[in-house]
Order: sequence, then C-alpha cells, then structure tokens
Amino acid sequence: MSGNGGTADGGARPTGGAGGAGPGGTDGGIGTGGVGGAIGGDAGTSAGCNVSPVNPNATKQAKNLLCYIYSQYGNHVLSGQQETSWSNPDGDIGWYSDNGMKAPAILGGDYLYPNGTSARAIAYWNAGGITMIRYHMGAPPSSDTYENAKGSANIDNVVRDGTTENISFRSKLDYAAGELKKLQDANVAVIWAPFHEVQPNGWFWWAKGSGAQFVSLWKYMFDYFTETKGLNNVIWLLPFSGSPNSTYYPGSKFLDLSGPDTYDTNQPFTALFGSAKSVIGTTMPIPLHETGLIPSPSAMFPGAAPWVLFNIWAGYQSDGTHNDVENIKKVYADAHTVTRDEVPGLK
Amino acid sequence: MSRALKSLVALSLVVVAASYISWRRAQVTISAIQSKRAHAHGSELRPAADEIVKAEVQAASPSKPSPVSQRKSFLDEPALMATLRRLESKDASISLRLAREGNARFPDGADAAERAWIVVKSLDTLRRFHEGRDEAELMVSRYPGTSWALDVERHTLIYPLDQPSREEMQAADPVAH
Repeated sequence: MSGNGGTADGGARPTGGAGGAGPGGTDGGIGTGGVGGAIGGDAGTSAGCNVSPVNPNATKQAKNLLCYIYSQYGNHVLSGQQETSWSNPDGDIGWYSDNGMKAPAILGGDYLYPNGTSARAIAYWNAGGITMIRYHMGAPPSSDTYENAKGSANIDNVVRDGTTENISFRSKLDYAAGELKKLQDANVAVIWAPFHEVQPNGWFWWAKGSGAQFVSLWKYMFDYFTETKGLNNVIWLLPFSGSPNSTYYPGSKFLDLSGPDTYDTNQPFTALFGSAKSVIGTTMPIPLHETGLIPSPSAMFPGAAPWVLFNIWAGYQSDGTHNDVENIKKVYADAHTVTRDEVPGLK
Repeated sequence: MSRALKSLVALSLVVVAASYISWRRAQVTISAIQSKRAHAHGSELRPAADEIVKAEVQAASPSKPSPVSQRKSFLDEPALMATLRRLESKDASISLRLAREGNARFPDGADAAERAWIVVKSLDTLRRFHEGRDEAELMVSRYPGTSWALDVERHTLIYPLDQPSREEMQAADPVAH
C-alpha cells in the first residue's frame, strides 16, 4: 500500500494483512494492494491483521471488527442507519426491506433511550450486522433528556472525584457501562461513539468547554470503562462535528476511529474529509458517523472522500425531503457499498 | 449682574445638572446590568460580554436618541457579526438580543441566516426550548437549504420535546433493566 503515514498526533497505527488498503499520503490518494475489497471469507477476522484496538484487552470480536473496518478503508463504504429511538426504532431498518433494499451493514442506536437499545444491537449483530451506539447524556447533574444534553455543565467538576457533577456523571457512566456489558456478555463488539459532534461552541454540554476539558472528559470515560468496568468489546470512535478541531482530539492512544458528521448537501463532502484527515491523520479509517444526505460511492472513490462508513440520521432516509429513495437504492446497489449480508463473520 | 449674564449662568447650571443626571443614570444602568449578569452566571462578567454591555448602555444613554431603531445603529452589520461570533455562547441573553436586533435591522443581510441560527441556539442555551422550536421552524422556512437551517433543523426539530428522562423510562420499566 502507499501513503501509510502516521497519525496527526505523531502516533503510528500499523496496517497491513487484512487491512492492507487505505487512503494514503497527504494528497488524499488511495493506496493500492491489500485485500482490495474482498468481502466475505476471512477478510473480517483478525487473523493476519496487525491492527489492534487501543484497549490491549480487547475481545476477539472487537479485534475482528476493527480489522474488518481497516480492510474496507479506501475501497468500500459500510452502509449505516440510525434508528428513531424515541418512537419507532424498528421502522428505519424495516424501511429498507419495504423498499426492496438489503439491510444496512450498521445499525445506529442511542443510550438516551434505554428500552431495547442493547437488545436490538445484539439482535442486529446476530443477524450479521454491526452496531454503533452513541449517548445523548444529560449535563451532569441533570437527568438524561435531549434538552439536558444541550445544557451546560462545569466540566472541571464533572471529572473531579466527589463533586455533585462527578457523582452524577459516574452514575450515567455506570448505566452506559451496564448496557455495553450486556453486549460484551453476548460476545458482541460495538462501535461506541460518545460525546458526539464535539467542536468549540457546540450544541451539547461536552462541546461547550475547552479542548483540554473535553480531552479530560474523554480520558475519564475511557479509563473508567476499560480499567474499572472491564469493557473490552468497545471500538472507540471520537465523533467530531463538521468542524474537526485538533485541540479536542485526545490522541490515537485513546481511540480507534474518528470522523466528522455533516448535514450539508455537497456530497461526497470532499473538503470535510480533508479537514478531518488533517486532524486524524492518513492511516486511521475516517467514518461519516452521521449524515443527512447519503454520499455516492461513485463520487467518493477512489480519492475524493473515501469514508469508511456512513450513517444516515434517523428518519432522514424516508422523510421525502433529505434523500431520494431511488438514489438510496442506487447507492445500496453500488459495488463499493457494504450491506449487512456482505459483512463477514466477526464472531 | 446683568440680565444676560444671569441668563447665561442659569443656562450653564441647567446644562451641568443635566449632564450630571445623564452620567448618573448611565452609571446606575451599567451597575444594574453588571449585577444582573453576574448574579445570573454566578461569576464575574467575561471581558467580551462586559464590553458589549457597556456598548449597549452607551448607546442607550439619555444623551442619545432612545428608539430602538436609532440607538442600535452604532454597529454596522460586519461589526455586529464580529461581536456575535466573538461572544459565541458566552452570554446567550446578549447574543439573543443582538442577533434579533441585527435581523430587525438587516433582514436581508448576508449573515441573516447565521443570526437566525444564533437566535435559536441562544434560546436553547437559555432553556427556552419551545420558543426555540418556533423560531427554528420560521428559520428553516425562511432560509431553506442553508447550512445554518440544516443545523438548526436537526438539533431542534427532530427530537420530540418534553419526553420523560432516561431515568424515568427505566423507573417505569424496571424489569427491562
């Protein structure tokens, strides 16, 4: 492969084996070689793959998942769909079959909604898919509501042991860890995307402080989940907003994946891919963890914006406003697009 | 003392008195607003917000015309936007007021959509969610397809308001958890 550069923060993530393809170099060009798009068989297992999750105790399933994601970077894009957790969570995936399409490779969930999120994630994995979960956590010490996620918190106190905010934060982490543990006990790996849309002056409480405060928040959760809670089934995704910012980047020792989101319409969002790469580096696969408009693989590849996955936001696929059904069908039929039935065994 | 001299002295006294009253009112207003802001935020005023408050008070002082349309004309559109962007979310009430005033004065300005976005985001920060949603609906129809409208739409018009908290949902269905 070409352009196997280090990460923006100086780290170097080994690639090769199953993960032998990827966008390389500073020119955004696509590397060649590696699996080159093999789907199925052993392509998704960690055998022969020297990519390792940041958690040294990662489960076999987590290693397989990360290796598989690396193997697809630069040559394929994993399809994804966020569920409408608050009203009809099964409706979004059902919409694809109702319209004659295969199921997305990835189901997106939200732990703001406790009822059934983990159960649906486990079921999706057992059906051959991948799950990606975020969490609209309310600003400590307030409860978890969408409105409270847009509140404000004293982040210094949130990470200072014993404060009211910290006790609340730990309670929320305990809840989320308990849900992720359900997945681990079921041998399910998960792409965990907490504190999403981080940027200076963002909408959510975790994005209303400084970069240093956010990094302390991220590391606190990372340490608590990996060391205290023994969660080893997690692939850590740092989900930027449409303005990736290096001061909010904890570094590659604390995450496995990172990427932005956008609701703009200038797909495939080439400039955004470039700005993300300038922060995240040229080696780590870059996901489009949320999008309003589905990007077209024919425009993404080979080098314009080779997102490793896209995740259409809840309801945006079917509301008749943000996407055209025929265009989604076209994208799902594209040879670059991975659907659930094409995900190899990761168990 | 001649009559003309007496008149001049009297006029001078009136001017001095008026100036003093004007100055005192401005000081009282500054103190009141600073006290209100400091109380609301539990901390000292941030420099940017403080600067804006003083500018507002200066513009609203009795020595200047008082109608809103006139007293707010001290900032042109670029200067207003520079101020709003510098404020970010440091003081949502001031951002809300300036953005609304800006769009009243420059409804078709180049940055009108951004100001409308600031209005909605400020209302959210102030936890005036229903008002924010009403503003968001207006904004999305007024500036369709702009990145500002798309951003507001997904953050204010997708999730239903006033749902039970996650904790309440769990308490209502303890078996599932």
